Amino acid sequence: VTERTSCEHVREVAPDVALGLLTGEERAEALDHLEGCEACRAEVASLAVTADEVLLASPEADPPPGFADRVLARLTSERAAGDVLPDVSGAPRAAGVGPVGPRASRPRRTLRVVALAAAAAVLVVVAGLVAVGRDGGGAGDDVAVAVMRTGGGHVVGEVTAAGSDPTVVTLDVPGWDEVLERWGDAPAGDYWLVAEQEDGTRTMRALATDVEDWSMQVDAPVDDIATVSMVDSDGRVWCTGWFAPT
Amino acid sequence: VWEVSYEALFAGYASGDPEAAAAFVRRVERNVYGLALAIVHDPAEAQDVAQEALLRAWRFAASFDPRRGSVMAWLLGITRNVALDSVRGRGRRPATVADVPAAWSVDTTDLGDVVDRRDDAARVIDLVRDLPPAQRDALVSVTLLGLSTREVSERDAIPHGTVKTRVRLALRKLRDDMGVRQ
Repeated sequence: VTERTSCEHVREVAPDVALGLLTGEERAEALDHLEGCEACRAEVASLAVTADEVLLASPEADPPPGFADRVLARLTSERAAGDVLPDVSGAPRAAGVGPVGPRASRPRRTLRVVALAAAAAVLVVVAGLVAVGRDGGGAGDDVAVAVMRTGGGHVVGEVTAAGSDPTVVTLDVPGWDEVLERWGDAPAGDYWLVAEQEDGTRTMRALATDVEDWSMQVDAPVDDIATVSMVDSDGRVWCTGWFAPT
Repeated sequence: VWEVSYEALFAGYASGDPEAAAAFVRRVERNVYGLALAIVHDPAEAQDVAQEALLRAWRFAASFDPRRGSVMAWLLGITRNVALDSVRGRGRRPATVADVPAAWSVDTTDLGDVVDRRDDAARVIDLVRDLPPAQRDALVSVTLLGLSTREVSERDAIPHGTVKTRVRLALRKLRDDMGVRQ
């Protein structure tokens, strides 16, 4: 244990960790220490709870008339659509859909790598998944979007497959961000991003959890991609998105 | 009048119960919209942000853990993140010297005009107000406005290290005053 990663140092920067103010190597070192130090985790967790509670002191304001009704109407339509997420192909948004959506979110840190062509045995267990479907994208590219579900059926994000051989697969798990920001003891360790084609060919990429944008290139047309999963280093699937067969 | 807790209403909201959903949205809309407006400074954009935050809360309801804090704090955290995404997605930075009027810091740190708060929020407001002013401003800028300590340093023309120290002291003092268990 180095001096920088001692309990004393981590206690000093614990507020920064709780507030998400650390970046890069300093953050990685702190998180590494927290993984093995229950006392420091408790310190950070208590500060994170406090930081969240500060939000209760935020100002209030009356929204425009009809705001609640519009939210409820959107909620009803999303439920009726069975978790189908908004189109993210870059096409103009539908009326009533504001400029803020899952895909208009924070700047993305990007992993763009040449995919490993991985074959081998089937690793990804797909169960209880909901197909979403495929969209025609713009500029000659195909775009497919699927919701990411955990084994328990919870929707935790979405995956986009865009392009036409090669395809860029991009995973967006806002829930994961929330988990990391809120909880110092979030699921730790590296994950794999695994895209499986309909013929069983798999493309994998190590997925460090301190990297925000999870993308990889798959040397196949978008229509050939069947599933995309987040798999931990022990081979356990945390969530999967299943593209509907064309 | 709904007498049930936020948590109970949120459970109904998450499950899609129409009556609970309507009650939940109407109970929280002033908080969600108010925070969105404080960050984006544009009523139309704030409405989009607030709507997206509420929908995102429904989509990711499964990630809410009541052991980690209140529904309202969780929801406002989502709102803040969506608002900051919106601001920064448009190439802006929230609350910088260049694009934020001087009234900004007054709006968000002068908490005395907040009315009709529930007990828990009122207590937090009191405790935040009791912080030393410099510490309070630094903490509010980071937590409510989502600024980095460096951005606060640039905005207020004070050393970066000073801002970090103020934020750390403020958060620890607030934690102790609130009695949050370690």
